[in-house]
Amino acid sequence: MSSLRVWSLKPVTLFLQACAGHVLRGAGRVLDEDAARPYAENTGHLSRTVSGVVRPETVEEVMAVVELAKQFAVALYPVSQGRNWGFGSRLPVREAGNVIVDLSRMNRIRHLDDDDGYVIIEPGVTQAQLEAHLTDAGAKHFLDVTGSGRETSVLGNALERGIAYNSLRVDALSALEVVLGNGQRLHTGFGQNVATRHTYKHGIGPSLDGLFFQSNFGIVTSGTYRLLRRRPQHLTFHLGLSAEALPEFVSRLRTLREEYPFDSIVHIGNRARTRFTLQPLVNQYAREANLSPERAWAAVDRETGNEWTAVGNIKGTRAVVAELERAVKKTFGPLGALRLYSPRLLKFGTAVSRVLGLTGLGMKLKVASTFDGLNHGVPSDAALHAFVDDGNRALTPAESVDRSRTGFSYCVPLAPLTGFDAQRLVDTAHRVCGEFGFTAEMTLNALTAQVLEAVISVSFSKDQAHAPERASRCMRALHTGLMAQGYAPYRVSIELMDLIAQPASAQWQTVKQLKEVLDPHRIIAPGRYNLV
Amino acid sequence: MAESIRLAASRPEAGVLAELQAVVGPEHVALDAQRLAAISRTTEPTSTLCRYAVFPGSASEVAQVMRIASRYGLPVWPFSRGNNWGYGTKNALNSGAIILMLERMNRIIEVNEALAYAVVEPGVTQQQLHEYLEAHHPKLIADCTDSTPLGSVLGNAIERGYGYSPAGDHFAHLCGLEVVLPSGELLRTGGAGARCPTFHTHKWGSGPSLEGLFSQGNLGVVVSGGIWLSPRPERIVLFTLDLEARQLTRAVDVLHQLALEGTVQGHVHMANAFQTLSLIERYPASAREAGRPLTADELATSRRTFGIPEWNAIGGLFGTQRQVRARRRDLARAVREVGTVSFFEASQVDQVTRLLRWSAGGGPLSWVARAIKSVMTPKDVKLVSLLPEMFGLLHGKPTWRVLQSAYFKSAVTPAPTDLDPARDGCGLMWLAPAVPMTGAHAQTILGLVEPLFAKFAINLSACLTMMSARTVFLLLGIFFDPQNRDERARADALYGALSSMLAEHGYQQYRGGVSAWAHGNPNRDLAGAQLLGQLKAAIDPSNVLAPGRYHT
Repeated sequence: MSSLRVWSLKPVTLFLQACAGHVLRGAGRVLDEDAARPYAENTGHLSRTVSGVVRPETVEEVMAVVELAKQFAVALYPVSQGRNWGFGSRLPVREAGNVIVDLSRMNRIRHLDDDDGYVIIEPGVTQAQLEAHLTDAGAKHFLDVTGSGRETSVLGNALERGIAYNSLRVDALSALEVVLGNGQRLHTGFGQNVATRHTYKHGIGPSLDGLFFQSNFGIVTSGTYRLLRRRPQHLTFHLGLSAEALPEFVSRLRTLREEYPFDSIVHIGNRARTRFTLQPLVNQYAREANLSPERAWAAVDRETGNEWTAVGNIKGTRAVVAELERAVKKTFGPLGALRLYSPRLLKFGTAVSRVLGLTGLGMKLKVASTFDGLNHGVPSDAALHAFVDDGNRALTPAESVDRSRTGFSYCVPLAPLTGFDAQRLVDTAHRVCGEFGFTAEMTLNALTAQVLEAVISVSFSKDQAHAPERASRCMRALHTGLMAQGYAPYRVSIELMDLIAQPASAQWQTVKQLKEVLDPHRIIAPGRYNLV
Repeated sequence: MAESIRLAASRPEAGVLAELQAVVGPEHVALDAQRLAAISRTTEPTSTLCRYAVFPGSASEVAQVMRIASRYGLPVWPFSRGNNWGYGTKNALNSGAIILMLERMNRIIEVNEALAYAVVEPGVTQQQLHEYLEAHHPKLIADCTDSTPLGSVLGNAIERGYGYSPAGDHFAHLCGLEVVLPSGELLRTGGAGARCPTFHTHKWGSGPSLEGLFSQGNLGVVVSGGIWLSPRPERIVLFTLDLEARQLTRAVDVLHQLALEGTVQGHVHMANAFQTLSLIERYPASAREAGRPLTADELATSRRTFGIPEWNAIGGLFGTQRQVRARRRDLARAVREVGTVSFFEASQVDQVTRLLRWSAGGGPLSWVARAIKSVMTPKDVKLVSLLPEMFGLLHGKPTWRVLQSAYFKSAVTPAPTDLDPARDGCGLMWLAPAVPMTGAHAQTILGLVEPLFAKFAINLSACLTMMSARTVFLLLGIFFDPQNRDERARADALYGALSSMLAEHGYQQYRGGVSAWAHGNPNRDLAGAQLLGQLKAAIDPSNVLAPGRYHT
């Protein structure tokens, strides 16, 4: 290569060549702009140029990649499995000149401690992989999963503060190994050779873990993830509610959480959300049971046709579960149609209804059992089936989401867990989405005894003229409207970073100062959850 | 010390003083030598003398003090109430610093009963919050430590202290901080600004979380914070577990399982006999004057006299009637093999309280009480008298009683209330490594610390406290007589020896004090320590906020 040619090459190209030549040898580990094109697919209309992709497999390789990025002044956007659907998928925040660091090949489960109940995992480890590992080991503990597919990254989701069926992922992750933008390798917590490293979150002195959630200071290459203990008994309850009953349900839910050892997250979905998710399931059931889709839906509506359906877990020793069961019946029974299921009952009931040809019951149990595994740590692609294109069966459900012609986008505000706030939030969502011609699909998740999270989405056809742009405007208006009422999002899409990083706030100025220390060359994910 | 007084007196700094006085008012700056000496008193073997003590009344005054300090390059050390005994009290690392006492900032800004949290300033004490809740929100309780009722709620949470109930991990229950940065700017954590209604209910705003930066550090002065409260449980039962030393490791394993399963929720404390003795008896004067430890025989005699087991665990069961009944049964079954368990319900504790009141003040006794009293010796009463106080702690009711142990080796007899070990010249250092909660680890670490205490001729005072289902803190107390120069030097040397031995074996201290920082950087992780230095330089470029606190 002549020096003249080198001179004419862009820094990104030089960086990719250096990676391919010195660090990431072997096929498919460095992708140029052409090969990187699929990385730009997303669930909306977002358009970013991905100039290249690097796929390291070890911490040392990540460190070498960061060194080269410093040298060539190239911006790196790390993704774990890249399934950040509805928030930008794998896309960078900045328009152009970016390289994605795809960590999906760093997928080792470095350690399982089944006594204390934790694993040490790398970013590429998926829910399905970890679940299989725990099952093979016959572990006493299980991974608390999210509803978002089998092939999603546990670490990546936790770093975005994702929410699992029973707990907040942010609370489960500690002892991070991070390659900082300044090239240093850091171990948060007690440092590497300390006996309590994986069992006690803090070190001595300031606690740094929090810096690496939703930030752009470094690339997290492993972390300690706490598992949940399997309990002797585990029940799931379903409660159908009318639109009017929502505030009362929320306030009763708080009382229940405060007074009983009831510590799992209750998910409350609205009809639009349930219908969207159940669509493929109902179609499939209609085919199997030889029903018209209308009749199948009618059967579903008889059972799940309420405006809201709440699903929650009861777990513990026999005595605790018995008491909670009584408390749930007493508290929620008067509000709507309440049903309790154990995993055994579901299995048995499904079989019986099939034999007896009980359509309504069969459908109801089918719905319940499809999602029931999520409560117990069995990840599922059920929620992704709405995106599977029947014409393209070669793709896995996870691969289908970004490519599907059905697009969607998320808004995830937090509110105090009160009936008043829940209703106000829901009203605002309906009003704003309605103004843009969308139906708000909603799930309200009671995260703690104090906090409610709402997952609001709008879905649209990518082929319909201006629909994606309209959805994007709708999302911005929805965020702004909710934030004006004090309901700040817990996580945002790459196109809405400007709404949360406020230049006038001392918090965000401090975050910017931290960037100067931890990543002075500004090579890690510029603009992501930061002013710079 | 004489040198530092000279240093303080010789600097021409009328300008600083005038500016500080202008900000907080002259009556809120302490400068006379006698008062400063009193403020600088500590329970540790060495102390440092401050230049002034400034008592600001608001966050904006704190901000102005920080700006003045930055301009003059003078170190400022903030303290909430300054009762950090055993960890440096209210001493700066070096003499000549300005002590920033936040005790006047003692407003309970808000209690949200529906969402179960309180927002407090650093000067709010455990007693104050407890009384306020009893009067205005009797359904709610705040967890408290067993140290002074006058200790700061916020200060303890920021130092990651702990109490007894399921809400006993105080930093974990802290949510939404307002912090004055060294630049004088006011920062609100969480990233969403003043209007966010989840500021005190959800720890994680959007973007990186900064709360951790302001615990155990020197990057900002926390001027208010939200504390999560708990609804008062329907029923609380206290349990004790008497253990022989050889059963301790087994007991740790059993409690570990019970905690993982959720049967035991709170922070069970397991004390050795010496620690328990320090709560109920005075150190024999002859041994104190000779500066010698208690012999094994003396300890055995005391144990027999007072009926103290080799190890004594104490904890609570919390919940509804049914849950507590189930937990009580599960716990009794699980520990049957390892020790003797006793349960105390509220009604029994009431009986004891009444009995104690009668036995102290006379008055009419029921025949039951008379019968019990007739078989109790005055010495039994001492151990039993702890019961109501410990039961109160499970309910978040602060007590002076446990702090009396700080006077164990002192010639001063502790008063029933208004204890201040630093003022009263007690010698005490705490050192508390975090230990994975397994019997094997408990055995290993006790095996490591015991010979060092023996080598320096100081009795081992040890309490293992469950911090979570996975980690225990081993709280080691080094009691010494500060009047005895030889013993003081031994205490200091023992601290140094323990620190380096623990670091060498990978046991990190959960918290540090002036002694820890003077004995070298407790953060042994080089990349982490280096990074903290860089963060410090970015946030506090003139290095005036508590320089050397938690990292060098």
